[in-house]
Amino acid sequence: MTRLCRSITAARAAVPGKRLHRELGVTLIEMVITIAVLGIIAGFIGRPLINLLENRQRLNMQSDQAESIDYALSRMTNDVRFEKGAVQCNAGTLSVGAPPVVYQYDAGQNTLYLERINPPERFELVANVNSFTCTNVEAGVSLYELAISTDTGDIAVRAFRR
Amino acid sequence: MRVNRPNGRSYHRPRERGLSLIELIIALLIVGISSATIANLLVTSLGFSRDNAEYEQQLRAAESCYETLLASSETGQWKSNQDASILVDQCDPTTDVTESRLRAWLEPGTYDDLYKRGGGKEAICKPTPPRCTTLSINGQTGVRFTIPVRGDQTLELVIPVEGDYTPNGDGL
Repeated sequence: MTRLCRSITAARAAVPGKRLHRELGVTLIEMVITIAVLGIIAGFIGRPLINLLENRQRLNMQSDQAESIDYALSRMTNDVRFEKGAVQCNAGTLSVGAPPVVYQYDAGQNTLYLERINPPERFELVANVNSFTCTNVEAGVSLYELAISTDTGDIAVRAFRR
Repeated sequence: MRVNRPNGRSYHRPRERGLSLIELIIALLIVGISSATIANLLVTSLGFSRDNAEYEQQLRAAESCYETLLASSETGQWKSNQDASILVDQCDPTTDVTESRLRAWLEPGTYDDLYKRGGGKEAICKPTPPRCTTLSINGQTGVRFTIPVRGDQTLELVIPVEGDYTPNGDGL
C-alpha cells in the first residue's frame, strides 16, 4: 500500500495537473455492470439449478423407497415360491411357512413390517406405503399377486407356489 | 502501466490495480461453464435413476407373465388336455403369443381369470408379449416361452409336454 501511494505521488509529480486514472481497482460502473451480469446469469441458471437439486433430492428419496419395495417384494415372492408350509394371503397380510413369517401392513403408520412369531421380532420393510394387498388370483391355483401402492405409483408382482 | 519517475526514468507498475471488467467476465464465464457441467452430470444421474426404475418395472412385468404361464401349465389349464400338447403344433415355428392366441389355448374363462388384473383391464403378458417355440430335450418334447425384459435380456420358461406326442410326424 505504501508503495502504491508512493507510486501515485510520484506519477502526479511527474505529470502536473493530470489525474491518475484506472489504477485504483474496480470502478463503480464496472461493479454495476458486473452485478448486472451476475443477476442475469443467476436468473438464467439459478432457479433451474435449484429445481434440479430439489428434484435430485426427491428422486433419491424415491430411489431409496424403490429399493426397499424391491427388496420386500423379492423376499415375499421367494417365500411364496419356495418356503414350506401354508400361505395365508389377504388384504394387508401375507403369512408364509411354519413357524410363520408374517408380512403385515400397518395402516396407522403407513408401513409394511416383517414379523416373526418365534422369537417375536418386527422389522420395518417399507415406509410411506399407502396400501399393501395380497390376492389369490384364482381359487384352486396357488398363484398370488402382491401389490404395494405408494405416492409414486402402484407396483405389483406375481408368485406361483412350487 | 508505464509511469515516469521524477528523474526521467520509467518503470512498469506492479499489478496492484484490482480486477478489471474483462477479468470478472472471464471468471463469470468459468463459473457458468462449471455450473453447466455440474448440471449436466446431475441430469445424467437423474436419467440413470429413471432408467433403473423402468428396468425394475419391466422385470416385474416379465416375472408376472412367467409365473402365470407356469401356473397355467402346472395346474392343467391348457385346453382339452392336462398338459401343454396343444401348444406343440401352435409354437412350431416360433410364434408370437398374442392375447387372442393365449385365450384360444386355454380352457374357456381361464384367460380372463388368470391373465387379467385390475378388473379385467390389464393383460398380464401384454407389456412383455412372449414368443413360444417347440423343442426337444433328450427325446422329451417341450415348449419354450421366451419373455422379453429389455434388449437382449429375456426370461425363459420351458414347459414339458407329457406323453409321446408326435405332431405332423416330424419327430417332435
